[in-house]
Amino acid sequence: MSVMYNALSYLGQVLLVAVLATVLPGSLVKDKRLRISGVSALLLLGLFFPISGLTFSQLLRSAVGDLSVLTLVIFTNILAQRLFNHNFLKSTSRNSLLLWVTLSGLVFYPLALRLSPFDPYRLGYSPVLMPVILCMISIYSWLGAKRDLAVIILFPLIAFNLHLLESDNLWDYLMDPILFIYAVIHQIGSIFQRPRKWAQHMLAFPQRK
Amino acid sequence: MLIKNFTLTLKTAGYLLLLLTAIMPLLYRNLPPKAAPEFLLDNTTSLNRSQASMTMSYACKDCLAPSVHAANVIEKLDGGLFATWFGGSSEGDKDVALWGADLSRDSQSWSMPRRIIGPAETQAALGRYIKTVGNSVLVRGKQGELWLYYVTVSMGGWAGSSLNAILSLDDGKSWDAPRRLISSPFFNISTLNKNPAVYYSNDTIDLPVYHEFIGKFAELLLINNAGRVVDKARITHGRHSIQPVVLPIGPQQALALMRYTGPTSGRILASRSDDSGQSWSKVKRLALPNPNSAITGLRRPDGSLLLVFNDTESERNSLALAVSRDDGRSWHTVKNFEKSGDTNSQFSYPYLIRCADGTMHLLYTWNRKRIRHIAFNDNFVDGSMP
Repeated sequence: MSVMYNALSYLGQVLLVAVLATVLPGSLVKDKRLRISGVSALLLLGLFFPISGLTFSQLLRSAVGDLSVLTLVIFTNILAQRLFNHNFLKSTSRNSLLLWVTLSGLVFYPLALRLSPFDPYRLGYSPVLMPVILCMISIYSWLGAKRDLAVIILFPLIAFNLHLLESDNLWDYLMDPILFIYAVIHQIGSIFQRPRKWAQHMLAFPQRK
Repeated sequence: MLIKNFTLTLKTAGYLLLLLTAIMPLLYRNLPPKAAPEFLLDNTTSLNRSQASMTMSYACKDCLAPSVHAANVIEKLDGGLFATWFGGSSEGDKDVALWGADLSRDSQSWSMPRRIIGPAETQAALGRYIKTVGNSVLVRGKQGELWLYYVTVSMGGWAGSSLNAILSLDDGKSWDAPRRLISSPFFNISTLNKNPAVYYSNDTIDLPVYHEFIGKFAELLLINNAGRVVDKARITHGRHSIQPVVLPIGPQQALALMRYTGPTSGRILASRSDDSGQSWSKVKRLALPNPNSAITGLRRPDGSLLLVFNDTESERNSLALAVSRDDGRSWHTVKNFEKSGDTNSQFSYPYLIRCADGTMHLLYTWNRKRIRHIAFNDNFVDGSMP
């Protein structure tokens, strides 16, 4: 079992380093093959080249801990998109997921870190209510034709059942501060993009006509 | 059309299977909700009414480290004691490690300190950068195994700390590889321990912990006999209460006493639970002073409570013992273990246990140079009785 949970932890490190690695070649290197080679080289360096006894990925793990299952899904999608121009998660599903993460995080983190006697993090130990809510959201998504989202929501529950991460708390399988920060940045980005898209749409309208 | 329908049915069946795989094990494990366990109270033994006695020694006099702090102690299976503390150049430095020593039951003398674990060993086992180690608490497991829960810091100061656990199956002679406890959703930082665990009737323990990041507040971590966190409860919230000591006063009643870290003149803080530590009352200030320093205490078999604390307004140059016979509502200072006119003297981080023979053992930091050990009995507390 420990091999399994280590596997998921290491996968998180690999993905985090790989996503960071795609930032540089992704924006500078246009050629797809060169971009993949660049990311692979940076990934190998990050995973195996020690700095003061620890690799870059281990240093990252020291700072951010293990990534949640949903972060792994989002990061895998980012990688697939940046390296192979392929999205296995529909943009509407991804946006819904990130909106939920943003809203949950805005309530969850202040309460969990001190704001009130109520600690929502406690709900993640030996949980009953949380899995039921998650399954209901999943069923709702399935019926609403967001089948990718419906399936992805179940991954953290299955991983939690199998104890694939160090944590015994379901929240840590669902979200982490890295995903929350990413989701907030995504929301801010989409707020700024909306007027631009709207303007593009308005400008494009006469031509279409 | 037929193929399309068949594919859709297959997808739905697959989804339903996934849904059941996700939810059923959790419902099976966690339903119906388990009743709150009861505290284990020492009501079986009577008070030790032998002649009043108190002996003073050092758990480490020559500590092999320039600075030592935050000792804790546990009764060994052979009736001796085992204590651990952290020591190094100075608190928070990279060379700080956990040290331990044994008190032989026969010779009543402490062994030379030995290194238990440090940042390097923890880093190698966890695959993470570890800057330093800190407070530790020893806990006896159901099968007699010994757990050591200790603090490590990867980045920043104590606010960036996490809890780790190591297990010994030979009463502290050797230890297995450390494992990290996940107790906070925010990068798992800012959980520290200080005081003894509280035992429940269902073999779980409550480990009193506290946070020092955005807020400074006290919590309980419910840990099962495999050393895994299964629940947590918030004792306080806000910014001024840390290092709780939890004293069970009934099967489901407990009193938590805490160090005050606020800016005004400090008093020891108290909160109560009537549901086995699941929920806690609003914090009250006791009359006892607290110069932003750690406290400790225990419950005796007759129900009286003992508290060891710095009985000063701003310094740590006096260490006193107080007794309460009304479940912590009123306290009376009965003894002073230390009282120095030199305000630079520091007697801090007390840790108090009661052994099976009724002897109580107090360990504390003595001027950051040594770990003082005081053993005393019930008549030392109550005055000599015939």
